[in-house]
Amino acid sequence: MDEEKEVQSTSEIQESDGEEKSPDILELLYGIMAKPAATMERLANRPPVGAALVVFTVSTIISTLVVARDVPFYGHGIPNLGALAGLATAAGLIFAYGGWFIGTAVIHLWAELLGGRGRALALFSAAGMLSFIQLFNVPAAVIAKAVGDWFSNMVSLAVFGWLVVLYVISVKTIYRISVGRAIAALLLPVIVTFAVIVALVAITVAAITNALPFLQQQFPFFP
Amino acid sequence: MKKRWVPVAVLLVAVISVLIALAMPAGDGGRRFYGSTRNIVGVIYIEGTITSGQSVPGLFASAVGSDQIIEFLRDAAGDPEVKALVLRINSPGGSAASAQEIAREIAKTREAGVLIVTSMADVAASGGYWIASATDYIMANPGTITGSIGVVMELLNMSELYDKLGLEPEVIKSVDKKDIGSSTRALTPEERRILQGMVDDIHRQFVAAVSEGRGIPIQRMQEIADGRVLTGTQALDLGLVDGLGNFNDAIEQAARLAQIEDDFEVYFYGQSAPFERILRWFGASIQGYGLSGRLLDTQLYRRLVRMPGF
Repeated sequence: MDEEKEVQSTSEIQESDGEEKSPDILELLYGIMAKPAATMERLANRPPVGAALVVFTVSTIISTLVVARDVPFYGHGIPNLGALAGLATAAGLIFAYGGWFIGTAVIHLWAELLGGRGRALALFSAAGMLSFIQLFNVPAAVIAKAVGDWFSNMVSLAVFGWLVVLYVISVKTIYRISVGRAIAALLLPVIVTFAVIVALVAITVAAITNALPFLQQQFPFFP
Repeated sequence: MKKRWVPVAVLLVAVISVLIALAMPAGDGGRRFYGSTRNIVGVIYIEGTITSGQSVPGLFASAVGSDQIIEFLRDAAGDPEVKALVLRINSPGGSAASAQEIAREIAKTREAGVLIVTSMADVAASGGYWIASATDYIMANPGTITGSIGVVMELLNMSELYDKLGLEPEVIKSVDKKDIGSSTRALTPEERRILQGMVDDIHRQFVAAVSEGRGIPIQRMQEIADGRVLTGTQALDLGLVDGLGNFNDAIEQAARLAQIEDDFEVYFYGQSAPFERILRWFGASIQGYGLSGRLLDTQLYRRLVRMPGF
């Protein structure tokens, strides 16, 4: 009974004078895991950008460190980048920040195109807080060294599914749209990007194929 | 909020996991962990046209520079853990000078006690074979194209084309033969004799190198060295290769000849940078030598990855 009350309190913390009290990082993180809809509602109203930045940075560093250790060499794939784990982590962090910013912008655009109205800052904060969920992959990656890759693959799949559900709830709550439109806002950017890449590759290959006879004629050394 | 311990616990478990991961041996299951062995078979790729100097990666064609291969060989020669090397050759040849530079370094590396086996891929002809002949053992695929022991110099006389285009090249030279081989005119008989002499001299060097490397009498080599290309099987019959097999067979043979077959690890010199992998995807065959290659193929780096804790 007490636990239920505590869960509910995530969205119902009130000061004695009636003014809503800002939950701290730990409360928000627990709320995202236990009561995501209510927590996202709170995030939509008061985006915790600072907290999201801290959570995203810490989560990304930890997640990257554990994989950077075993990143195989490019090319022939023999030694690992153990000695360069720090460098790989720094690079991973920079890319992660970029991905976080751009990903938020893209989803925000699609959510608005689909009729939603919400603050990009709220989605940005939500995405940052949701990065905490990827920490569940970290112990799985270590355990997998003993039991096999299947374990981390299974956990990664479960975490991915959980994240998708949480993202759908975030977009639905922040932009006040239906579940279907929230799913569309998340899926369409991926589908469109993939389609554009396929089209560009097809055009490039066609152009090179068409130009080959001419190039071979002009330059005998051309393969 | 009493459930605040939940995210704290998740974070704690993740941090402990990272610490455990960093304390564990790196690599996938220890198969490629270099701290666990003192016997290494190194692999050096020689792919593309061989030239002197630096490698030249490209989108549709590439050149492997002798400097890069020599650097790898010197690294191996100075590394007591490297007991054997496999040269993975996939090259139609290149300049004689670059082949000589690499062959010379191979000899030094062998003198340093490193056994060297050649693994021929699709093609290991001409300069590619020159290099291979300097190694201890040559393994080819039955369908490998090899041989082509000979020297060719191709010049293009474009004077008639210039006439048709209405172009009249002007050549100003201090001495008579400075523009020998120029595309603006035909060769004179004397110039032809000079260039033929050059080609013959390089051919003699080529034949002598192969004769010495393979232990084939020079008279016999002169019969074989008529420029013909051979399959791996034909080359085996002529004594130009020692065995037939694939890349893994060559690695095992190298370990066997170095008497480390019971305990050895494989180390690949010169890894491809991501951008070079993209070029490969577009059809280029290049030897990795980007920033990551420079960072990772140095002996210092190899020392680092073998240090305890890395």
